Amino acid sequence: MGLLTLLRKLKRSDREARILVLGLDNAGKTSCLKRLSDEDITHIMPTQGFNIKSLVHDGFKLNVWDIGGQRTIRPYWRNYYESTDGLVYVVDSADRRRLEESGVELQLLLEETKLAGVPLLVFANKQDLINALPAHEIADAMNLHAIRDRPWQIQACSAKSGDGLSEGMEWMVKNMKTQ
Amino acid sequence: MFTLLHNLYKYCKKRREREVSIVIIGLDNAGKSTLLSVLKGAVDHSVTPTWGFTSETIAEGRHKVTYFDLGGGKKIRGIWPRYFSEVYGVIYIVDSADTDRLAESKDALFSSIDDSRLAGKPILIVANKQDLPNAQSADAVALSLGLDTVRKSSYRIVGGVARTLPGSPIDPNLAKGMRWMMDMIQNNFEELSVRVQKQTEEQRALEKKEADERRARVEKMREERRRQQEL
Ligand SMILES: Nc1nc2c(ncn2[C@@H]2O[C@H](COP(=O)(O)OP(=O)(O)OP(=O)(O)O)[C@@H](O)[C@H]2O)c(=O)[nH]1
Ligand SMILES: Nc1nc2c(ncn2[C@@H]2O[C@H](COP(=O)(O)OP(=O)(O)OP(=O)(O)O)[C@@H](O)[C@H]2O)c(=O)[nH]1
Ligand SMILES: [Mg+2]
Ligand SMILES: [Mg+2]
Repeated sequence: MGLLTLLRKLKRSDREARILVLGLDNAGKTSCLKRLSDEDITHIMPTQGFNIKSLVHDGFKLNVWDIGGQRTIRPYWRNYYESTDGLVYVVDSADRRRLEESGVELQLLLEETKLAGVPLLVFANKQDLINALPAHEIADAMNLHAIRDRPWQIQACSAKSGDGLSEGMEWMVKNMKTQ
Repeated sequence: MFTLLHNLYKYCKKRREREVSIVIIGLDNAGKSTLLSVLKGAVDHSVTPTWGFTSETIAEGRHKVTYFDLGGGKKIRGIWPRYFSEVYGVIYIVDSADTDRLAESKDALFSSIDDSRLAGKPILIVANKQDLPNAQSADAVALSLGLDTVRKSSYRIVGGVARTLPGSPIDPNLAKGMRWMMDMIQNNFEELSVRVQKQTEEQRALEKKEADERRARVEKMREERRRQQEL
């Protein structure tokens, strides 16, 4: 089920919602989104600025913002916080070395007032790799249990196989509190 | 006279503002999120599995109760104890029709109630899904869970149906169970709140220490990376 199918299932009174997709470089943000849109994911380059995916259905518009995660770009993340309805944070589940770094960056995001109360979906991506950590170990390493001020969900997924992606987005769309 | 009234007002206000939290746990598919949706005011018949945390704050008499709904799947259960410090009580839900998993549910229940952070806190066990034809009665579930070996004062088991029809109120048996829990909390409030505060502070301090250590490790790693790039 792609994003558009998901959107069709929704009966929302809202006209527009905005989802922000963040995470370290190489986590698979762009791949996840392209996969959800049934696009080819074999030739994806690191995102230098941002990609935006807009989907319209029945008068409802879903805007998904995918921002580059390279260290030099991260300071610009804050330009995108405004009026975010849902935060998707993508993690490379096989990159144990950078898991803590990923958690530290997420912690900073959670402290942002503009993102206060925004539901958090963590995509534990690249589960197709044999050395991928299970979702609960990632939740632990990233200290997700310390979050009290918003709903969060960790979804094991793989942009490569497509597993878990629509389940995650379905949770997100259900938990967004759009005005 | 005025000061007396004023003090009375302050006293009442303080009593009114009692904030407590309760954690809802139990195996996956037991009906935790369904119950939360009912407490919130509208049953959700299309719940999806929880792999994390949701909370809902609801006024119950003079209490402001925050319910934590956690994932129950085998691979997410590990987060439960992280919430034990700050709760005043526990709702433990069992799928009474899933007889194959009662033993698993028993293990999950006991590894929770044996945790010292929950000692003496009220535990409401819900033998859920009594509407299903193959559901075991609350008594049978109690026996399967081995509840006869637990000190009786701090737990209670009720049979019930969390998933109501849309527009219907909460199952009266469940409502009775919840009232028991709130009474237990209210009657022991002073003692409980001292413990909860102390445990919560300890938990926060531990979490802060862990976070600081993580931050320091990440800083060191970044430093090393910078050095390597310069070489
Ligand atoms: N095995 C595997 N590889 C993946 C998966 N998702 C992404 N990748 C690979 O990971 C690399 C990075 O993917 P991107 O989608 O560009 O990552 P990104 O998070 O958008 O990176 P930036 O744009 O630099 O922030 C690419 O080589 C992808 O092919 C996955 O689920 N499994
Ligand atoms: N027949 C019946 N079904 C119920 C009842 N309560 C919940 N269910 C169903 O049981 C399934 C699981 O319910 P959830 O509320 O998602 O269970 P959960 O405990 O939150 O599960 P996890 O989030 O995976 O831990 C859903 O299909 C519910 O509709 C009940 O009282 N009777
Ligand atoms: Mg990208
Ligand atoms: Mg649930």
